[in-house]
Amino acid sequence: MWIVRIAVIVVFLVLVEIAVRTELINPFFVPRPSEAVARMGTRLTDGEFLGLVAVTLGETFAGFALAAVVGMVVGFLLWRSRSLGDAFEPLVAALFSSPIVLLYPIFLVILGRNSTAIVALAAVFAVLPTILFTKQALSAVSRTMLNVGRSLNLSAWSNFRHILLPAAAPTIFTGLRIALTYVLIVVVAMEYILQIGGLGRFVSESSLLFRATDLYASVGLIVIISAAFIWAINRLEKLVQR
Amino acid sequence: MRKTLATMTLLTTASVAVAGCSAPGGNEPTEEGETQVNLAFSNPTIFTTGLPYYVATAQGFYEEAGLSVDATFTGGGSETVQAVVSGSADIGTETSGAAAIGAYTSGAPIDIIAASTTGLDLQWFAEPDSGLENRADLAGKRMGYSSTGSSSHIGILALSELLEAEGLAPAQPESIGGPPDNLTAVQTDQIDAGWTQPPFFLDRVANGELVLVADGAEIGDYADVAMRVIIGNETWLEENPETATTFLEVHDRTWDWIFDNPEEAATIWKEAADLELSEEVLLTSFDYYDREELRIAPLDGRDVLLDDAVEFGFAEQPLTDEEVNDLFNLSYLPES
Amino acid sequence: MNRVWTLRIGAAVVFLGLWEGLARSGLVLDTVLPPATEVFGRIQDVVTQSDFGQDVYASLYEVVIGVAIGALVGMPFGAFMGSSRYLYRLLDPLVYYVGAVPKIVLFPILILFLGTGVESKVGIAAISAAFPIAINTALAVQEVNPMHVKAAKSLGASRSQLYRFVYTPAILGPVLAGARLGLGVAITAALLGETKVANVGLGFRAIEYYSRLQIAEMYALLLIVFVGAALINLGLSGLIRRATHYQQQRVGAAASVA
Repeated sequence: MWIVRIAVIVVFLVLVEIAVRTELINPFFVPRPSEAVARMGTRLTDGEFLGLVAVTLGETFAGFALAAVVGMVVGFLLWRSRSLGDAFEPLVAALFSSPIVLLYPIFLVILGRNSTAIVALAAVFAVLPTILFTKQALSAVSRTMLNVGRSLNLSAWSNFRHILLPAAAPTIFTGLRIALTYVLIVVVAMEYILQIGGLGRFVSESSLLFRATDLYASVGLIVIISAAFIWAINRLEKLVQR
Repeated sequence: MRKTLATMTLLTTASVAVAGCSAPGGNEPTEEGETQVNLAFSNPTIFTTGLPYYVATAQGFYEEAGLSVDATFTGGGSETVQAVVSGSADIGTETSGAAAIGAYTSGAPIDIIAASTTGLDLQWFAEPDSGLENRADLAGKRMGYSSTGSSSHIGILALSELLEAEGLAPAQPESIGGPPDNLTAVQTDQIDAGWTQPPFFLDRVANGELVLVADGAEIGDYADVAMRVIIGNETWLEENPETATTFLEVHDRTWDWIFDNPEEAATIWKEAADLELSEEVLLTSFDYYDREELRIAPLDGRDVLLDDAVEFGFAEQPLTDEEVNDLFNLSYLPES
Repeated sequence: MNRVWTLRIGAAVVFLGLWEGLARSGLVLDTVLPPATEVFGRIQDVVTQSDFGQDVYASLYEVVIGVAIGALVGMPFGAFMGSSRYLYRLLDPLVYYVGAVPKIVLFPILILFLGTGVESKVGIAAISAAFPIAINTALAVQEVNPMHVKAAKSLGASRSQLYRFVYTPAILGPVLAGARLGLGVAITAALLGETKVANVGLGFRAIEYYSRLQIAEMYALLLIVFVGAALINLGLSGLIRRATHYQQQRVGAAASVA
């Protein structure tokens, strides 16, 4: 299946290549895909550029770790206390669908124009799906299963570890996957908007210097990194479920 | 089912209704006999950017010449070039020569058609408790500029070069925006020093709220260099050569009027740009600028601009003579 | 129920009280955190600003046209993708992976093509909205109950009747739910684009206030944007629920493509 998928992508790129070469598409706006792909290769051996990738990845991991830990704890609390859950789950859901990213100037004034502000904003955005999915995952574990645990006289911890967690894990992972996607989106978007940090800044500068090849190459790399993240978390999910 | 259809119809109708409305920010219909010119420049409150546009509009200079001019405001530097390249604007004023050269070497269809500001009129300010006093103190500090390739960016890069020659650390440039954004960033400690152009914030310097740390005159030898230029979209210029010339002629004449009528100009400026500064403070601009610095011709210091563009990494390689002649197209300048 | 509201109101009071107290205490600069009362007081100033109407109009225009274009592209593509098991399995991962990319990085490319005006913001809104709409449409078409199709066919339904009476009602709910998600991401995308390059719009205005250090006005405007977005969202959900009796179940699947 992946061979066909890659073929679809290659055919698309070849069509663009032809369109650019015949100047059907203005080469100033769109570089030849072959050049952009080649540029990706040269950039990936360029230490300075790898430094930018490292900054973006570092911010992403920091934001994700924060969102995952806080989100799962809060989600657990919302499940544990029924009234807390009833009171605040709708609020979290409402915030989840609101344009949180637009709060970035507030983060800048409070935390400064630096990676901390970016990580904090990303974490605030991504904590919401983590909370929601953790709460929903735990709520969906049936009473019967918990009762089985109790009848086996499992300790609270064993009950949590061997019954609750495995049953809730798939849904929690969906939340984490969304959180990771969100963190990466916010990190790259903020780097781009503020022109600080890693890959997002590179995209902004390439566009301001009209370096189309670099621009498309870096956008392509962001696509690949984002896909790699989702792939990795899907693998992790399968491993945990074993 | 009927309900769902009704909903869909409603949503579709709503979208179409909005689509039918004119695009916001679009141009107002041009009056008969008038030629439309879309202008782009940065930070419209500033003396060198917004003032000539506001005065020419208020005094009817554009109209007299048969032009209908609309302005788009950009973040400066390459963003002005971006507006011109993408066709959102026909002419861009007050963009740095280096940004224009850099864009040209990447294949941007633009021409440099006139000088806009000759010399480097920038100042860098900081808070008094920052301990920053002079140029050398800026070594390793975070300094704000407007946008990549702008004159404020070039200023920091040139300053860093000086600092490094003196064995000090280069400054760290941060893309912040115009003078107000820089003030906010300095006050909230996002950067150590921000840029401005006179007379902005000079009142705050006078009452001790801010200190001036460096001045463009100390940085590099730019007194006779057209640090900012007027650019045009190549296709538009080829199709509207006379309009371009008329625009430049009106632009130049407007500056004459401004220097002949400073008080009236300050009144127009204060009102059009919605400034809090008093007219007295605005009038001090004339202590900093003379008419010659705002000339459209001659365009001096071409070699410096070309060298800087390569030196500071905006152009990947030096331009050939042929390219230089193609980029600097001074044929649209009015005669005289 | 009462307990729930006590908790909610209690939390709101504690939140506002902390905000106000912290701002008034002088512990934080009032440029960073203006008191809550001041922010609420500024709402009226912000709304009565002469440019406010124009900003709202520009932002709404970008979002509505963006979502409409996103739907015009996303729905047919989604329907095509969902029309066969093979195509769905082939394309779904691709669309899913590309959908998870931060679309804002495409903004500089859109500026080159569409300029620095509202068009580039319409473009980024359209691209952002197209993904959830396409994914939801494809999923919905895939999941149309084959029994219903069979039943309709055995009753002699023509192809157009099949589309009209079986497919359309079955996919309408999920498709509209996709459009709602699309609207949410389009709002974020358009306003974020406005904060980068624009002359008009709510995102642009927020940054204007920020750059002039009118922080209370900035908070007030953001508050208006949030409440506005929440109301639009709520209104649409209600409308969709009433129209289709459809409850979004797979929030996760489509939400992740913001």
